Amino acid sequence: MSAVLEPPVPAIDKNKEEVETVTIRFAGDSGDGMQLTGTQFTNTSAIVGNDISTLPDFPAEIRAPAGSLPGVSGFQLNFSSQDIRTPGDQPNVLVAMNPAALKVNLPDLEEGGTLIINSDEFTKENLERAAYKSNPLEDGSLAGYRVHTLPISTLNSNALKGTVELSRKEISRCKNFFALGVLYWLYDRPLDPTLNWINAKFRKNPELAKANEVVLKTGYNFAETTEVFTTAYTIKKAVIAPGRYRKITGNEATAIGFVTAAELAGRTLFYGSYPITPASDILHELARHKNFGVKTFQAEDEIAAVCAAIGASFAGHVGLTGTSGPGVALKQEAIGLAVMTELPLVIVNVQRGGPSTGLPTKTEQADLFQAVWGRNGECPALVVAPATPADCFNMAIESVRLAFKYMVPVFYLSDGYLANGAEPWAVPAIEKLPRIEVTFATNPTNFMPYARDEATLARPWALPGTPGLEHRIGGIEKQNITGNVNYDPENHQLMVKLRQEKVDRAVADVPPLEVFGEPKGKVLVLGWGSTYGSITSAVEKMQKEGKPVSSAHLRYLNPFPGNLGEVLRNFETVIVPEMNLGQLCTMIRAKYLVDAVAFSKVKGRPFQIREIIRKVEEYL
Amino acid sequence: MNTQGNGTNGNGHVDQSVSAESEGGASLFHIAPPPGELTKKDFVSNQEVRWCPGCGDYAILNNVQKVMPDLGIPREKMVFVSGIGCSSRFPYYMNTYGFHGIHGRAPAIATGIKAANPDLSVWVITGDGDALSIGGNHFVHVLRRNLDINYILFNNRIYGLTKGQYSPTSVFGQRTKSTPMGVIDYPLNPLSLAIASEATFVARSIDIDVKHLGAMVEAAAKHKGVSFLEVYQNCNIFNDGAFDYFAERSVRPDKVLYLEHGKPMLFGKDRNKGIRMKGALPEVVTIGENDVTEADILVHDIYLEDPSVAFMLARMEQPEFPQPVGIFRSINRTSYDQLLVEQIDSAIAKSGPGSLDKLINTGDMWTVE
Amino acid sequence: MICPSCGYDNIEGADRCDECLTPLFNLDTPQTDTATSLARSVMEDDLSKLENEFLAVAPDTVAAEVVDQMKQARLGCALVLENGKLIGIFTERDLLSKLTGAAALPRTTPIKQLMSANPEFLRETDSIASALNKMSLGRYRHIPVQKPDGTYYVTSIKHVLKYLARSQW
Repeated sequence: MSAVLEPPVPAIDKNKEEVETVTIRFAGDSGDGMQLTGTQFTNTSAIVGNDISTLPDFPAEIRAPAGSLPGVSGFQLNFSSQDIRTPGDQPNVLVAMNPAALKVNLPDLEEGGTLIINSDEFTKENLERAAYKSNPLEDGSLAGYRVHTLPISTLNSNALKGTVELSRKEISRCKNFFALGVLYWLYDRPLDPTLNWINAKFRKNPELAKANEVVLKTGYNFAETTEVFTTAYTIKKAVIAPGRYRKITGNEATAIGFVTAAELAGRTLFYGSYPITPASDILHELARHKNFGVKTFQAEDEIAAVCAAIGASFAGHVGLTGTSGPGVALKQEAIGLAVMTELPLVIVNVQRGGPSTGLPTKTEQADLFQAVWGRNGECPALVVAPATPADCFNMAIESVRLAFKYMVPVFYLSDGYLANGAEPWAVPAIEKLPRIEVTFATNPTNFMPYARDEATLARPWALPGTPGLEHRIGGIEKQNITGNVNYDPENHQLMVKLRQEKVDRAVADVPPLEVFGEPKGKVLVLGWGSTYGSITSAVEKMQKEGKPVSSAHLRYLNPFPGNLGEVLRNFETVIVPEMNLGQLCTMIRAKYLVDAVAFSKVKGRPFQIREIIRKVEEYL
Repeated sequence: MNTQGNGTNGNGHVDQSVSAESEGGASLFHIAPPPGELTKKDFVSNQEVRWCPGCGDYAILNNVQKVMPDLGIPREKMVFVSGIGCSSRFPYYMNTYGFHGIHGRAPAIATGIKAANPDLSVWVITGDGDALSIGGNHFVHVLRRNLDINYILFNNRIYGLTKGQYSPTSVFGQRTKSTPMGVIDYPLNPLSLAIASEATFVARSIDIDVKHLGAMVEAAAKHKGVSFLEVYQNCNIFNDGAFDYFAERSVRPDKVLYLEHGKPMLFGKDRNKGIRMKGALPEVVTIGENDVTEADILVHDIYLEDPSVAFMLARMEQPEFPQPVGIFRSINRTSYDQLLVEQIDSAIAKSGPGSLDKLINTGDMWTVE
Repeated sequence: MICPSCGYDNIEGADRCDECLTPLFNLDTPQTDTATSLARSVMEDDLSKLENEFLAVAPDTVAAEVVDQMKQARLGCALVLENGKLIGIFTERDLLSKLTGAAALPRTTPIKQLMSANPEFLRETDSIASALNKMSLGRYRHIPVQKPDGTYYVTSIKHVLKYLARSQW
């Protein structure tokens, strides 16, 4: 391997500093491999025992021109010796592989943050493409940061000159491993996990494997020996419960969760869906699991997708449909049909910025009202919402269990942040997962399609093909018990109330709400969905300072946990941070007559920990 | 409460049709005697039929109930799915499994049912508004996917249930509740659209031609793949006599062409009129005039892969042409539900049955001691 | 789309390889053919896209002085301007042919007697292709270029090569 740079004489003394938490954002052109780089760094960090949380930032355009602003792709990673729950409020370090990446991401970098820049890419053309009037490396605009400009492209190609049989383009693609090597030294990471990965993945391409290996080591040595970096940082192992872990994103966990749910119920999964950002990946993932018998159906539109799922449910499959906000709007009439026919149905909504087409790639949680009340008539459905990417697995299983038990549609509210964010997941032992009980009607004697279970008020699930149980269901109001079409006024009121009562009774399956911190105090921060990470981290921080603040997180939104009212009453002020204009807040104000405070952020971005702290302090 | 009732007590119009005989020969309409224990009565539900007296739907219901026992399918395996409309009340009157869904979406619901359980015999009952207006999208896709279901469209050229608005098949200039100055839309031809949507079985019949309708329903049921059947159905309240100009008994022989596979396309009281190709277009000729013999008449072939002839027949309208009824097209293509199962089977053959253990323990993994 | 790094067969249009995350972005977008791209650029880009140099002397400046200035500035060409008007050009070639060897003229000769008078020049708005054309037909390595405001500078084969050698076409 040709080392371009000789270690300077005399050797420079390098410091090693210990830090608790670091947030790095890798940013470059879509072709620069920042997702690969970020993922490798993340995996290595997990292997050495840090807690991790990541969030990718995909390019806005499908195929933007190289070096352009819409082509910037980013990957943010937070790793720590503590238990962390968010990918970090602001990056401490920004690795910018080209001017456009710097332009797009610099505003997020913390004051005095570290910049590692590939100076080779700061050419006249690239600066123009990034709409820079002058070169930021020269015009003093980066004065407030710790800037390290490295000619990464040159160092990369020099490292490989003469050592491998690769074209200039192929050599250029290795430069992200150089950057990775530099960062590995900077944060005291071992090279072995990535080296092993390179040799495993690229075994069919030994020249490339060798090149990446060489470049990784060169980057590492470069950082170690040159004057560019005088300090390396160590981050101790976090205290993590022992076990087997895997990295998982919300969408992955959602898909795996539903496959598992179907297996636990012993039924086939039917997924009716239509491509929509950010839910399409669930369709892609489920379509790969045909060997579980999973039937994925890409329908002609959103309505066909949910109707097919309802049909499949009628025939005894797990009827599942998935979409984002605009899709739910289209599906509501059909969901009403499922409520009226009292069939199990799970509707996954990976929420995104709205209204209308809104911000397809940005996160939001403004579809709560839609889930609870968005249908014509009195049309109650159950609503659940996972709190973290890994929780998506649990709530997927839970939503199927509830749908089957109460013969009712269940909304599963995820969002873009959960869908794409990743965190470690302690893989469960399959044998320990409880089966989902399902019983089907079989006895024709005195069979009544709308006879009700005493406890749950659910009607029997009678599958077509079962002799003697032939019956008709539909959207017109039904007579209780017999299920015949019926317009009688008393019957209608009775049925409306029964359907509501049935949903209310699901509270029996909602675990009591747990409070994080003291059960009584000055402030309770109440959240739902993906705000869990920011809220819990903020509250934990304040609790360490002795502040009288607690938090609670709702994973069941209809019905609410039975003890929610009591929990709310134990605090002087209830603050509800939400990525909407106060939907949960409105619901609890209405139901519990509590003067809760809505803390809204509708920017297409998750809450920062500091934002929540600042808000809470107003009430302390 | 509901009274015990038999849905076949119609008056006048319906009685006449029951005894009417269709032209075209007995061979077409011979229905085999029932093989099993089921009879028509088994298929009649206990719901009192609420269609208007004299509605064409009675005839269709009657016919379908008569045909069901001959299909050899157990009653519990039958599912009737409908949307919204008068026709869509159909499932309530069949003593089978039924799903009265939302407007226009029956094909989608039926797709889910059939995909979940391909052993079921799934029927979609719909109307011209339900299928072609709000349901236009699903119409195309359920046909092109070739789900092995039977799709019966009751075309009465009007919106009956909502009391008389025009539909996509209403005649240009028709005066209706929502178009008092006349319809200004050009109507849609359901068979054209069905053929264009790649339907593998396309047929048409008339509500009052009991024998023919029965034969068509049976043929549709027996066809493997999607079976599309349009039935001209008279709405005697909001669009009475809409089809009389060709369907009325006295004119029918001269105005309706009964298509039969392998037979020349002949019609007329004396069966001396026929369809002949003149270049690329069809024309009506009379045998004996201008040296036209029966050999010149186009012979019907329902098994042609190329849909052009079927499409051409579907476009034939009065007054230039007779109204064709019968099976227009019947080709074989593997159905969606079968392909779905095959893919799953081949996935299992390739990767083994799914293992949750493997599913969960994939991706970037590590152990914490 | 076969991943160039690990060989995995990805579904067409995948953003990055499912196996190894190598980005596939630049591989499925049509890449412009270098030759046509280059040919188009030299036709479309004008001389303002080239770097340039500038050294001017007065017509009465003696040869020795001109040569000295050229040496100091490390340039191979001097423009001879009279009242801002371009009247001649003196290059390394002129130096070689007229100031060295047996028939060398004295170094005190005013440059106006040694220069190539009324040289061909191009306008800044002319294409790079026209510069290439002039240089190849006239066997020049330097070409004076007139800016819209009437002033001059020199561009040379060296600058054209730098333009051609850029990495992205």
